[in-house]
Amino acid sequence: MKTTTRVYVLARFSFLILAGCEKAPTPLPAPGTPAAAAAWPAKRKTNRENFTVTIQPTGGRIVRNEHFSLEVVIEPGPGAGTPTSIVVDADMPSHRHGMNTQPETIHEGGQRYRTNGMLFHMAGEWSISVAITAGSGEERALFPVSIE
Amino acid sequence: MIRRGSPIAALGLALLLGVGCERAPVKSAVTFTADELREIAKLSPLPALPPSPTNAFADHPAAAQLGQRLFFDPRLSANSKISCATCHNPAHGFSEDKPLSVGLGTTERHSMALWNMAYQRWFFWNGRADSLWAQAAQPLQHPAEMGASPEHLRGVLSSDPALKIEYEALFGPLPADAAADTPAADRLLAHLGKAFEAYQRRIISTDSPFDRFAAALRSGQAPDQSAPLSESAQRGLKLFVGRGQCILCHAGPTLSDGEFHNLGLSGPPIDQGRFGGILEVQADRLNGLGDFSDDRSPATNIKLRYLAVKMNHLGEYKTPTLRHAAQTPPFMHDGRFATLRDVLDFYSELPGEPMLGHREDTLLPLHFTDEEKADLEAFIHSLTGTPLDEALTRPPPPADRKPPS
Repeated sequence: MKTTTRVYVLARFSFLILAGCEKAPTPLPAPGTPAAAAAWPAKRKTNRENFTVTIQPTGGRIVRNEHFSLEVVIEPGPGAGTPTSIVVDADMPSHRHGMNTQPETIHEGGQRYRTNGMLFHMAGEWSISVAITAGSGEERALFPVSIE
Repeated sequence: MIRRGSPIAALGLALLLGVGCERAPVKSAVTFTADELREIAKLSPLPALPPSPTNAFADHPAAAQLGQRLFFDPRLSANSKISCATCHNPAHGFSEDKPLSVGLGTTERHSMALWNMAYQRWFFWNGRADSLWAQAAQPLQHPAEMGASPEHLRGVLSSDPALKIEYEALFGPLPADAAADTPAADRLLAHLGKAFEAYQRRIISTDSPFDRFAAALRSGQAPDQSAPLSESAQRGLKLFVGRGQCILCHAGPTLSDGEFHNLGLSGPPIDQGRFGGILEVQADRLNGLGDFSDDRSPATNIKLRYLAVKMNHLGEYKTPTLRHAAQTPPFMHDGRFATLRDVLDFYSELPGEPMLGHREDTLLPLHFTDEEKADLEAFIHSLTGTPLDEALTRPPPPADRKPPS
């Protein structure tokens, strides 16, 4: 799922249209304005479709160059088995590099996991990878994320 | 979804510029797209000073005064001739004009400018320190820089009654002995570093012509006519956030992502760059998780806890801030480029092969024209803020304290 929807831009333009010309519009957003509303949580099936993975950053958004944690829910499909290993990582495919951190995923019980130590230090297109090892082998879900 | 350059974005820009209205909101010489305006907004202003939780004295006025006093004091060096200000000269943007710093010997690095260091995550060109206070301990002792042993530093403080009082009022009694590599020596170095950091947190760049321009854009008013951004600088800004994509690394209000990149500079490798820096900061006894940190909690030290050691860090060096960069030639970690134009010539053509590792894939020859280079130079010049309060550029007056009778 593409997470950059830039909803706020549309909202801003709508406001401007409604407001007409009574007040000069503001060309620059205020400092710290979130660049875009993200479509969290994001849900995907793994490549072999044995698991459904849902991820969501703690706090509901990812800010460039700030550490964040990821809440991960892994739902096994029929006969998928129990995951024995979960590895969450991310990279920038077009830049051919990953994060400068080594995140750590902990099992919080049931289908819930938490990955700490994530950091997207550059703006652009990232891909979050959730790799699951279970009795049926390894499979993964990829989540494209656009960082402003 | 709105994509760059889409008709919807163009419509948005037209609305932003007040098409059809009597009052134009912004009078700038160069037209910026909505995407460019959004990127410009991310570059200014500097936010509030971030906390430094591992240094309980970071914002202590007396610590800042002591740090400033020590910063200019050559007695701290082994030959009593080199101070921090020798290589971090306030008159040269807290850097120096030599390619490689010269203390007791010649180092392998260009002196990094100290502007806005309080906003950085890592310190030194290879990030081998995780705080300003831990950073300070290294040049004090480095044999090619100040070459001081902890015992020498203890001696300087104990032999100057006024200085001793200032130190002890903050940090408690000086140790009786500070033999190298002992906890007493590390504690002394940590205390001195914390005073240095308190001073350096005051070396903050504000109110550059670019900041005033961005503020004017933000308010919807015409840019301040008392310090307008020249048309050339505006064109440079447009290149900076647009085709040049300089913002990929020179990002945010400090114009640095605080991280490390391999530009593919050629020449014999002098070290491993960030790769070695990671190993050093993890082993540093003065890091944020160490015994002399004032906050060793995992949450505060998250950057250390999850730091990755990856081969792609070979040959990477830290992105320097561009604020006040025009004041601080030469450039790059080894000072190889004498002028900003030399730097832009490099980015324009990317000559040579990396000395170590591989060049970032995001770097492509941009083939700037001479006019574009001049525009980028003009923009970088516009990032120089108002001069620092002169009182912070020299040793403070003697402390108003006397030894107890």
